[in-house]
Amino acid sequence: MKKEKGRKGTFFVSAMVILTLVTVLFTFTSGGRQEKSSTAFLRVGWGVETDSLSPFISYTQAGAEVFNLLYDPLVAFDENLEPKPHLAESWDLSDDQLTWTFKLREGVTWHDGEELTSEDVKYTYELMMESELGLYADFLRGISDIQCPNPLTVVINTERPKANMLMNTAPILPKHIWETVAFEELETWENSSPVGTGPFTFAERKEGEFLRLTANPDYFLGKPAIDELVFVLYANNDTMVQALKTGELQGAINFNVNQLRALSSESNISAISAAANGFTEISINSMEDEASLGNPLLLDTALRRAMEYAIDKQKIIDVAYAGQGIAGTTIVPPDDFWHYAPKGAELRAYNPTKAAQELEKAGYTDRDGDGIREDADGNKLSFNFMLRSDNTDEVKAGQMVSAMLKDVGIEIDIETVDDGVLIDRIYAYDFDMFIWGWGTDVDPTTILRVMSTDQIDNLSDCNYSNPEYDRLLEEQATLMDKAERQKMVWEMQKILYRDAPYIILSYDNSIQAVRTDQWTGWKQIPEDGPYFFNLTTYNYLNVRPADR
Amino acid sequence: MDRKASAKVRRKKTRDFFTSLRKNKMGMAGCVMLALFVFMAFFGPLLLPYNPMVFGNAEDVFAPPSPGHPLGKDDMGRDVLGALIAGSRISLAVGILATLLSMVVGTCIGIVAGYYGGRVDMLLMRFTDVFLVLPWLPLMLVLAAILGSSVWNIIMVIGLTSWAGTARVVRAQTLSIKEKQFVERARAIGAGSVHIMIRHILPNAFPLVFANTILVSAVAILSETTLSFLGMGDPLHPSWGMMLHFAFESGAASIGAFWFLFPPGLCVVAVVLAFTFLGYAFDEILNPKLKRR
Amino acid sequence: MNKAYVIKKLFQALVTVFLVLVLNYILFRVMPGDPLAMLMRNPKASPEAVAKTRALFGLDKPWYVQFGLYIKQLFRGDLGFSFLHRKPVSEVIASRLLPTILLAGLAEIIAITVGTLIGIVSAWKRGKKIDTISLSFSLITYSMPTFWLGILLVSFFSVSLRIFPTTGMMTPGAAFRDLFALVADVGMHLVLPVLTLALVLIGEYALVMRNSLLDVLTEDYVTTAKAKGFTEKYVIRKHAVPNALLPMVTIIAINLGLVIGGTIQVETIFSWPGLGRLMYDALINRDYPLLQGIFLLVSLAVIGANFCADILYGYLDPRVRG
Repeated sequence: MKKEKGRKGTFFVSAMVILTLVTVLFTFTSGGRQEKSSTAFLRVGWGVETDSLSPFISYTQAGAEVFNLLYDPLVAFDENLEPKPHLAESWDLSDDQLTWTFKLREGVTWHDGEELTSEDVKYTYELMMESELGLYADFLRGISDIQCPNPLTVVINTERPKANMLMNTAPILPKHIWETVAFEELETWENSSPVGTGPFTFAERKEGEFLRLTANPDYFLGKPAIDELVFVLYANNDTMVQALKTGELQGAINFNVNQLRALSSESNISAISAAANGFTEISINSMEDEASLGNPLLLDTALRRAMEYAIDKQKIIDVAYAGQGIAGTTIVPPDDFWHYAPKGAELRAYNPTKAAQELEKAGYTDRDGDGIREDADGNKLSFNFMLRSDNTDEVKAGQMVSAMLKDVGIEIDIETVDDGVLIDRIYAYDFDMFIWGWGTDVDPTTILRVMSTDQIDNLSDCNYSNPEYDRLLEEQATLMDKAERQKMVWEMQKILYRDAPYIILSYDNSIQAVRTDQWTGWKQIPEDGPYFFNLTTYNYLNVRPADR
Repeated sequence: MDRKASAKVRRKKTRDFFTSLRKNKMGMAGCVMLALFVFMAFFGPLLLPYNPMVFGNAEDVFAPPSPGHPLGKDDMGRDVLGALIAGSRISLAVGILATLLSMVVGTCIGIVAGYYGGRVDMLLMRFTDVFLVLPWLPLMLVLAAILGSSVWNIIMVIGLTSWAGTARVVRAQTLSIKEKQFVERARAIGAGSVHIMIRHILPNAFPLVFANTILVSAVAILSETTLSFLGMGDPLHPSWGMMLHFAFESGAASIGAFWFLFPPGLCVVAVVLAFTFLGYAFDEILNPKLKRR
Repeated sequence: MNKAYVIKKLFQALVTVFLVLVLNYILFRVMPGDPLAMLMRNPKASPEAVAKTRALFGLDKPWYVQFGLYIKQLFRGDLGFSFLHRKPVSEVIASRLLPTILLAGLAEIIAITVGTLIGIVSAWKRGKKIDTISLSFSLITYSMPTFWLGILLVSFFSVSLRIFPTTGMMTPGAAFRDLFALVADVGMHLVLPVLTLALVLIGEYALVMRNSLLDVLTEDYVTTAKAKGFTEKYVIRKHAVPNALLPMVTIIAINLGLVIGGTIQVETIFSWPGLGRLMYDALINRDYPLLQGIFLLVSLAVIGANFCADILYGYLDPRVRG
């Protein structure tokens, strides 16, 4: 045996040295930079990173926030979410309400120094409409053609009046860059170093780690006080909140309520729970077509309505969402101008007795005494219920729903699945019920469209179909009179509430927090709204370092 | 040595085994701890009825320990002690059933490989190597994702990934036993292969299989906990791992709800420790080389 | 050690590699859900676009053709194209390899050193108080779920004491005054994850070393040496420990799989940008090619390590060499 201790020692020492060298080398190549001590950092933690830097293939809220910082729309939202001039400094609508003329701001340049012109606007819109890719194509529906009479004027013609023209937040992209991308490649082109006109320029992105932006010194509204804006991805909320407490982060987006409670005692942190323009719903397979693999009993709207009576939404919000959120009714959130609030007899508030009565009335009785109701033919009210396993709150809510339905004689068979499986099952029409949510826009058309017949196999996830509803959907988008349009949008929500393809459990809150001892001037937008993900760039442009 | 005689020897060995076990401090500690948990799993729910589908109100969420609820309440306002006791059933059942499955698979493959030798052995052992080599947790995660999350699937996943060690031990035992005289004699009088494997080899290999199984149980319970924690568990049958998953996800650490974070973890450690103690003790007793010291 | 032994071990390793390839392939074919849905991410894609993407990723061919293609590509070093990251899998893996090697490497070095020492002391002072203490320590850390230990350490050191950062590999997006500040920053981030992983491993190494040393101590030549009048300390140092280290070689190789399992948990708790978290994310997002790539890589690493251990063992142990 020749092996000696000395040799083992040498091995370990050399291994240590090698590893240290690797560390140094690695950190050097992966973002070690010389610091200017005056650099003002704002680090924001989030749990879901942007899925792509290309507006054509990004479908996340995080992506929309980043595009808002890198690019600019023609018209932006002010602090009350009313349209205000942005890249377009003014606009005109013709008397027949079919021709829009936008005047662009002078002297706006891209991050690479090129001048912004009306051709960029035309190119961007046409590319989005033609490809139908990304979250923004839907905003442009109804545009028939776009002209550029001069570099600072864009003329947009529509077939019918377009009520949501000024709520279109599509980012304007540089033609000189995007025209080099082949149309077929749009779906895979990553736009890995985006060039925009926005307040921040792209610095670096480490997928799974962080996204770093730097202030644009030439921004047309002035250079932001934040020199470096870093979005940091956290694999779990708990460590994100810890990092906020220790000062590693100055902002945190979307953690949970218990963590919010833990932050409420910290004097240098402002933690809020604000309406988040979205809802969580129980989606019920409402597909009339025989291709549906869902339980046909659920096609009875009386049954769906009775189920809603049996669900104590407030208790679910209290326990599963620890009090954050508002018990839900219709598909447009309550803070919204477009929201329709059912009242009186129309409102289906929690009432298990009423649920039982309604079920009896509709012919569902427990005939064999096993505690589960059957219809006249003896089919049990027993449904599959899918919950997304990675969303703890939804799993909790689902368990509570199933216990509540059990109490009125409806058997629920819970299945926890991952998002991928759920999507597959939805597209195969192979489900009874599941819990998921939607985010909504300033313009109601986006969320209302989800329920239209032409979205089956696409955005629709309950396969609801109603020709009257579809007609109203197209109609309301052309009503330029706000009050008139509101009436029609209310009518649509009324139809949906009556047919109950969705049982809206809660209007969600977004829970966010910022360090007020490091940056000052934070504002909730709109009033009592969130700090981040609020459709504006207000905070990114207006916060100031606390020590200056 | 005929079968009767060998049975007699085995019985004596068994007696010796228990005598040694009683003298082995570690073994006894493991036995006692395990007995406590088995008692808890069997009778606990009778003494403290618990329904995971009954939820508290808003003020019950993360309520700290109180006389009525010595371990406080969890993220949905349920009694943590009750959940802990109910969880012991799931955790132990999953651990033990998965181990049984792994034992059956491992023993079959090990005996067949050792008994037939040659190409069969080569093929089965390479197959075993694959399972020995494939990284443990990633393999289980992938399988769990394929099968979907339910208690039975978790049992399948753990059982089907942890038999390789057992197969090796059994094969080695089989190799030495099949050369023994009584096996030769059985073969001479025309006993079939299956008969020999079941009647002669299995009973003699059993003690070591058993010791190995005890250690596999420890791994199985750890595996269940880890899979559940990573979100592959069954939320409707909350095991200790699932409790930890919910505790972590709901931020028990940051709000200092340690009554929800510590007990399930401590239980896992205690049970795994109990199995490890036992396995260790068995090994010491059954492995004659260690005994000499 | 003769040639036949090496060839035999090499052949066994290669057969294992092939079986791993097959199993790897089959596993990922039976995964639930349509990878295409994830691949496209765009619900509005036209049928032509769908067909094109399907063809681009070879999803339109029968399974055996896909298997053939898969093997062929592997030989060219092509691990496929990640659905999620839209980059070659090899590129994605390469970018995450170093943090994991750093984390696992440091943890292994610490665990092996400390574990071996504890094992030696424990075996030497068998039955004494120090043996009981170190044995209990080893058994307890060995019985602890890695993630739970991680949570405990974070709650204590980061949340209560606020000594170490909670997450990540360095202060995100930070710029550093000099190289030293940079290394110090990474070092601070390393402490807790490395500690967690090392603590879990120390227990096992200590146990193996203790057992192995106790085994050796009963060997005839050790008894002989003692009989010849050498002190116990000398016998242990010069004869017993070197021989007892042999099984450690094997255990370290076999343990590689366990270490990888540990890094998945540690990287999840600490948001460490390594392979473990990459794998977990790939799993959640059903990024098959990426999963398959990582899976293959770690399997090959473990097979390679085992092969090396076999050869080393054969070289060091005269009985095998024979």
